[in-house]
Amino acid sequence: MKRYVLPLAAALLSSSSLTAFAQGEKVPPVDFLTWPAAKYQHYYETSSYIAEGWRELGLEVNLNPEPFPNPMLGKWFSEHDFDVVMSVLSGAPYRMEPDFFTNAQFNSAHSAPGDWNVGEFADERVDELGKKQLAIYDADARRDVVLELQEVLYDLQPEAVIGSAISTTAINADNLEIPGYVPAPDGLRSIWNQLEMVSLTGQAVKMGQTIDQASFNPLAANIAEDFNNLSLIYDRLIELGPDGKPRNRLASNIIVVDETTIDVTLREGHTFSDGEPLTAEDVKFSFDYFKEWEAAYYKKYLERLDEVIIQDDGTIRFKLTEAYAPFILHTLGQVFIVPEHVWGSVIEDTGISKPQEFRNTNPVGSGPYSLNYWKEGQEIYFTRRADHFMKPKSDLLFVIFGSAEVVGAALKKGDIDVSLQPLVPTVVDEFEAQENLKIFRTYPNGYMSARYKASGEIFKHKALRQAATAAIPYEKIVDEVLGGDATRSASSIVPINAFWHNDSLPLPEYDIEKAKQILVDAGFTWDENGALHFPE
Amino acid sequence: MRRFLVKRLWHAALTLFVMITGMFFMFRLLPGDPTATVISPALYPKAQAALKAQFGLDQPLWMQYFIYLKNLTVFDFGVSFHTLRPVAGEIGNRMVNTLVLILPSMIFAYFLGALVGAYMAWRRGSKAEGLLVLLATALQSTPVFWLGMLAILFFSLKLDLFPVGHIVSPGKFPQATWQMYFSLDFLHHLALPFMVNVAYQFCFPFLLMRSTMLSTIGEDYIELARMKGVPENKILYHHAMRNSLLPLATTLPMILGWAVAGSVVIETVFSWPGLGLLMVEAVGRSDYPVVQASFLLIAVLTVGGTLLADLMYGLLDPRISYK
Repeated sequence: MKRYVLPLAAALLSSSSLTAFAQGEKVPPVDFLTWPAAKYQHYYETSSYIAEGWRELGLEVNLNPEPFPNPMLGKWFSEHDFDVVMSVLSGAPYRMEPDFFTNAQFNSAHSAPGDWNVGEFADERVDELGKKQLAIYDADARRDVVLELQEVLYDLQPEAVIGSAISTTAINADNLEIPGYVPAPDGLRSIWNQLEMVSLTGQAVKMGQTIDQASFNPLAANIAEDFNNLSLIYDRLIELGPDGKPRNRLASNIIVVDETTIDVTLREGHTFSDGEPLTAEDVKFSFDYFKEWEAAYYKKYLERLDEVIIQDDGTIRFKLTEAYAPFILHTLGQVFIVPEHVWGSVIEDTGISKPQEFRNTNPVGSGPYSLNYWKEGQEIYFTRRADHFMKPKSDLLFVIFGSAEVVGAALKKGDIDVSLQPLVPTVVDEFEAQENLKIFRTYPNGYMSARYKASGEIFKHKALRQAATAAIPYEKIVDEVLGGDATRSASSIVPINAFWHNDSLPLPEYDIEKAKQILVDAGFTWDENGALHFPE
Repeated sequence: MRRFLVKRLWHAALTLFVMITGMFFMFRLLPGDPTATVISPALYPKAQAALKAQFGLDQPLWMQYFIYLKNLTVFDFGVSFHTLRPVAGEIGNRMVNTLVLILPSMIFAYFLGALVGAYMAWRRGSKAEGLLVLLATALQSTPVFWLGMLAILFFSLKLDLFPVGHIVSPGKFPQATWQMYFSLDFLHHLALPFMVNVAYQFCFPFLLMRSTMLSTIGEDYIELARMKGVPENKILYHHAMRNSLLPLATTLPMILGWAVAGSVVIETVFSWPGLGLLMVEAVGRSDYPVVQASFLLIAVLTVGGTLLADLMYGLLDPRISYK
């Protein structure tokens, strides 16, 4: 990479208008927490390109790659031990809820260790708008506030949003059709696309991946792949649509009675896989049970739930402790409805001390598929329930491989029909040329950014954050580091989350002159070596 | 003999104890919060605390160590952080898959290596010998993952003779697990990793046998046999080879632990659901109990194998006595 020498000091010294400022302290070296180069080359290279841009501003930047997950995650989330962190947040479906990438990340109330405001950013306007949108259940009215919140964040720049890497997967079109494919952020892993898969071989659709199920116990589940497969077996009241809007699943109607009362009407005549009817009692039981036993993942989502009341056979009332719009998607859209006749007695039946210990290898659910078998580390077979209201088209067989390369090879050879694993970039062209393989590109709702420690000595200066954002070579990162396979975004709610994304914000551009001007206007100066100094 | 045995057992126990202690602290003394890898720091703080307590990670390190030691004495290896199941069952299931791949290929490789090694020593200086020694040296210095990937590329992708990996075809699992090991489909999947492992494991016994044979051939009793007019084949297999088998027989148990450890690579390349692949997965998700138990198993196999080899010497070679 080319090193730029600053011709700046000379330029500044000759400018009489700028020497009016007395020189403040030299800006200390920037500690840039990033990913290890060997295993996370793209992330590391991105941070290295960013650092290169910032050096042009007269900043001294030290890249600090730490092994992932440990100790990097600790420094990032618990200790907040950085001036900037190369933040890469994956796009899980529940993160389509607009609160997640805005208020949850930047509200000053969320700065404690372990919470999401890792940069300890604090701004009254953000806090106020963040709070306001949480109390609006009407999606259109809430959207206006969320758009405004994005505008404010855009101005204050608590982070420089780079964009998201596109992931490429493929199917074998000789064996599989997906007539109803929708561009969901999780692509072929999305339940909406798996329901639409039609096997042309008369057998199950064979999907290759590298991660085995850890648990079929909804209370113990912790990783994305577990939740994906659990949602095939268990229904929820609400399901996130591929477009980011909630859709009814077990619920047939939802009425917001007041800010803290929500009535859910249940779909009629639905049964569990063992033939027992699914009732309002099962729904109440599930929410109470997840809360009572403190299912780790759900703890956060259930803390605002005060009480679940059965109104009549088909209507359940949820009482909240405070107004909280994400309740619909985050709580109703995530808690699995489990049968009371199984879980109600699981502790007495099996002698375990809490339900999290139950293996649940023979799960009884009401979802569109039932678990036929699970050969650990090898295969998971789901049989479709043809009479389910979500209308699954084929059986699904998940095959677990040792590496993404072998998944690709198995697809090419015809041993499997789908690669759920993103393809290794080097094989994409080769796969595109092979006639029976069909490529799918998905735009995830996660994103990469340089997250500033806004409470720190360096990046507490708004002007410095804004200038740093303008000194990032975005195009070079997209083209050279990510091989063109990335989309940019001006907001942390990325364009694939179309309903909530603010598309009026212009993409930040690499403009070193503008960046320097921002610093000059804010009173920053440079010394004879070109090093940046704080305003007096 | 008894004193020797007691001494060797004591040594073996001490070695294992050092291994156990070393492994326990090695995994936990990485910089930063060791629990950060097990419990996502992105989880709600209260949920993190609950999970830490559940796994005993809220105890001080020395306390965790003594609990671990105490549990080991009753063969309780703990519960997997990932699947929440007892580690013993977790490893047991996978160990069978590893053994059906590693044991037959090891034994076959040793058998083949011994025969070919002996024959090549007999035909010292021939073109075939030179070529084979070169090939064996090259194979031995080839990384086995590369060999495996080449085999997949050539035999499965180009020639379409074998599947790219796995233990049976997707969706072809028989009802009972034991039936799987007797199916043609299983053998079809076994073939390629078996051959790669044989190719890799063949070199050591081959080279060892050849060099031992070379010194045996120079012995007087071989000369005498020749003078008596014993047929060449009989001299080769009855006189020379039998007397050269000793180093080979004694290295076999020693190498067993090493071979199981080596399954890490071959199983990953071939997606073979054995102990090796489990170890890779467990290290990746910092599942300490599984990682520790797997490493311990390998350590026990290696230490036990070495002990066995020491004892076998005395049984196989009357010239050696234990005093």
